[in-house]
Amino acid sequence: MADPNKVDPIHQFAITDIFSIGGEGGGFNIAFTNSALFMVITVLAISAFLILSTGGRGLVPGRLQLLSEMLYEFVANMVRSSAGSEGMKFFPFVFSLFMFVLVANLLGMVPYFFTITSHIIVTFALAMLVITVVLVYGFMKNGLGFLKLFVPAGVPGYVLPIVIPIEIVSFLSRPISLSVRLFANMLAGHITLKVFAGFIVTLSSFGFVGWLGAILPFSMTVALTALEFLVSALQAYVFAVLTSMYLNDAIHPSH
Amino acid sequence: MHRGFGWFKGVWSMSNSIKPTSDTKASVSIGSRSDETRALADKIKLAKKDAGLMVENKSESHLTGHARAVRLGTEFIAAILVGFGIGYFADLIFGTAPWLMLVMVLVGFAAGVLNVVRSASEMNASAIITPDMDLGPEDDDVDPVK
Repeated sequence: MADPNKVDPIHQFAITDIFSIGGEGGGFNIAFTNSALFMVITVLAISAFLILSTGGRGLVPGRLQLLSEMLYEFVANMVRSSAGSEGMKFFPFVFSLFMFVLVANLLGMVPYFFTITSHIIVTFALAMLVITVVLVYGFMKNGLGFLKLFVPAGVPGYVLPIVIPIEIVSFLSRPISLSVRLFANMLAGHITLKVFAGFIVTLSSFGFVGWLGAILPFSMTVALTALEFLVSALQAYVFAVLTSMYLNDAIHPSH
Repeated sequence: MHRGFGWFKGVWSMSNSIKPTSDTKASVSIGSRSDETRALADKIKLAKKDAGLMVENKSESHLTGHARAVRLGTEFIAAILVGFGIGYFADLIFGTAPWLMLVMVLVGFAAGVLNVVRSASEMNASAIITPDMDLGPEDDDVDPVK
């Protein structure tokens, strides 16, 4: 943003290479982008937090240990309530996903930080991971009985040719809705935030009256920032809840 | 779920008959009444939990309206997009454009409605019902107009 009066709300999502392995002539080029950097930061932050906070192993937990224990309890209850106690074998999976999305969303709220979940390819990769686990585990555990998922109980035979395609499309739409929801929330939120923040800059170039007028978008930006923190946590929660509900389908495929 | 709700109604009407019913006191007693009910509900919850009877409330109950709206919206759109995609590529393969696409968009639409209905009923099933909620008439309610 060279020109201070021209605000580009999309600029924050630009992917830039930090360094790359392999040259252009070599046939392959693996770039370490700012997105990748923030994924690494996210994972490091989660690991550091969990290792450091539980390092004391106090019987009476301190504040930080309590926080990580609460995170554990929160996700464990979520998995147990939507996938049953059998679903607890997927606890590490759901917990990792939840923490990754949560911390990535929250890190994205820091000014000048990159929001990795605002790119659909990232969220879609996460959603495909979930659906792949559901499919692989579903077929491993139930064999072909997993296909009962597509045949709702108590439906007369002559409706099945219509119902089965609908159920299949409904199942296939899960990774799409899972990824689009997270991506759209983060993208839209960050753009709105930047647009309103940009109004402050634009208005304040009109002198004193502009400064006064800039109070309005400024208060809006403050409110939106709070809302975005809420959305960050909420979307991580929704992602994890839906993951455990889909895992429930893999464990108990009959409707 | 339904039985739990019926129980709530019982407590509701019980405390209703005990409390004096003047208009000025109504607003005060509503607060204290729901406090009482809530305390009693908490007690019963704890007792049920101890007895191992409690099926943990399905999550999602404390989602905000915003999150619900976004969830329903994406569920619906995603199914249509998937239907369109399947139909489009099937048309490319079989050379039957645009018929499979049209059919699959309709199937996607149906799947979208199914998704929305399913997640809405999940939300309903996991909703926490408090005594001050207006849930519409019950089967055994008498219509005062008739």
